[in-house]
Amino acid sequence: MKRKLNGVVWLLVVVFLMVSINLSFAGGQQEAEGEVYSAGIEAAFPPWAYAEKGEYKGIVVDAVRAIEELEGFNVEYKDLPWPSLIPALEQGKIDMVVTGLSVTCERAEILDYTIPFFALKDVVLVAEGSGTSMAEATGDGARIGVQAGSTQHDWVEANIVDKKNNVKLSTYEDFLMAVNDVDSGRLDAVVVDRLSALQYIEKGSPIEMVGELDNARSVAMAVGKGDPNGILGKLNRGFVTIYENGTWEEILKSYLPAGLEIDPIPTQMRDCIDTYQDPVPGLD
Amino acid sequence: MIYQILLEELPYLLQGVLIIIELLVLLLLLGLIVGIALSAMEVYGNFFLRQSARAFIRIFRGVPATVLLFLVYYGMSGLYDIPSFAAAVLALGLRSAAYQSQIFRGAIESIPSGQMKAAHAIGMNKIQGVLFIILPQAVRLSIGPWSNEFSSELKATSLAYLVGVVELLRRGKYIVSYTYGNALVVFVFCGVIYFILTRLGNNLLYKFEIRISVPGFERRNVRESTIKG
Repeated sequence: MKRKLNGVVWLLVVVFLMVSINLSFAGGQQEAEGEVYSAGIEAAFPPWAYAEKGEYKGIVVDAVRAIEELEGFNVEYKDLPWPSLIPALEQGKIDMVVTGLSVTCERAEILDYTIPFFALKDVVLVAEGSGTSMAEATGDGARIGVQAGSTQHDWVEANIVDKKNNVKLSTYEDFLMAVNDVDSGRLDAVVVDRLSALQYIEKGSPIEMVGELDNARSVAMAVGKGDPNGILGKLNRGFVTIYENGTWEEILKSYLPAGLEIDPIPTQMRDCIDTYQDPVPGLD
Repeated sequence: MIYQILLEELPYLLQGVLIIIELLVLLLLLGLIVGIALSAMEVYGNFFLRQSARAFIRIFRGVPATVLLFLVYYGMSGLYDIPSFAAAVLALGLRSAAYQSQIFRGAIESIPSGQMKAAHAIGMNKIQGVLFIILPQAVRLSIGPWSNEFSSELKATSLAYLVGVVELLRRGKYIVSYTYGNALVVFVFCGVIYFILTRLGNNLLYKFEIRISVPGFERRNVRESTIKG
């Protein structure tokens, strides 16, 4: 009996040691000057935000890193899957969303957007060499894949599913799985933003672009509704500063295919977004 | 090359394995303690204890793990900001308690009633009888079914990413996402790790089963009947 108990006690000791080591690592990151904000990130969303060898990377992550230095605050990342990000922001589990979030009037009712820093269009991807045309990929009987809860999802539903016959719309937690399904023939097409599409194609994925959708939109970060922690001004000011001092261009160039035009920040600001009305926090 | 990347990412994937093991041990331990208590309440409790144990078991067996995770992680916001890891231990551990309680209930009820009478006959009260006569026999019978619970909870830890625990499979997903593909290779690699962990854990459990068997007392020969794996 004594030997058995020993085993159990040792197991417990080892586990608690492991847990405490983990906790002390997490604690170590907080020892920095300035305020610490909790930043929600979906680290499977390249090129905006992703994780490589245990480190968060991406356009928005790099931009926030530069803004942290400028504005003297710190963020602590919290990885949550995409469908959880906005609910977590609403619940106050996180203070901001660090990713390229499409600006829509509906979302503006539950969160506050920073100024938009990128203009995007969505494109339709089909399997390379499949010969699927834009009309086939978005017409009657098409099988289309999108990311669940994304702006593409809403657009495809309203403009293709509701207007054409027998269109089958499949949703995926992330669009990579959708691209896989295009490749394997389960889908005819996947709708994704143009930037991600260019990245896939550059990385040699067996897919090709057949057309653009008529839904230009802007991309921004988000903070909680009403900006409870007063971060919005810092982020807006930061984005304008890194655009003006050239940091933004460097970041974009390190992630994007060469020759992509860079829009001035802020990009187009829509009327339905309350945080884009004068006075915009951080811009004077 | 994806194999090169997997090699480079190995330390981070192994961190994910460590997180799985921590989560698993803590949730099974919570499940074990609460589960044995629930089974005792159900078998020996009065009307009130029995009904409350049953209500608990009904809820935690009847609701999907993902819903429990969200309830624990988001449900308490405003009152207490529970960390991701603790939320995962609590949600999966309480669910496991409900499952484990039925393993132990079955084992307790399979002990012949004469054992309790014999305990009374040598002067033990009910609590002593349960602790020293019934449970030691019941636990021996529970290990087989309990290895099912172990194996199934090990894989259930992969749901914890929903509340922000960055475990093995989530780390695998990172690789799939930034390499724009390779889903099959990466997920099969993770699957092999889960397989090895399941096998190792079950081996330990079966070794434990053999060690605590009482030669000549068991109705079956554990050494022969235990399926290896």
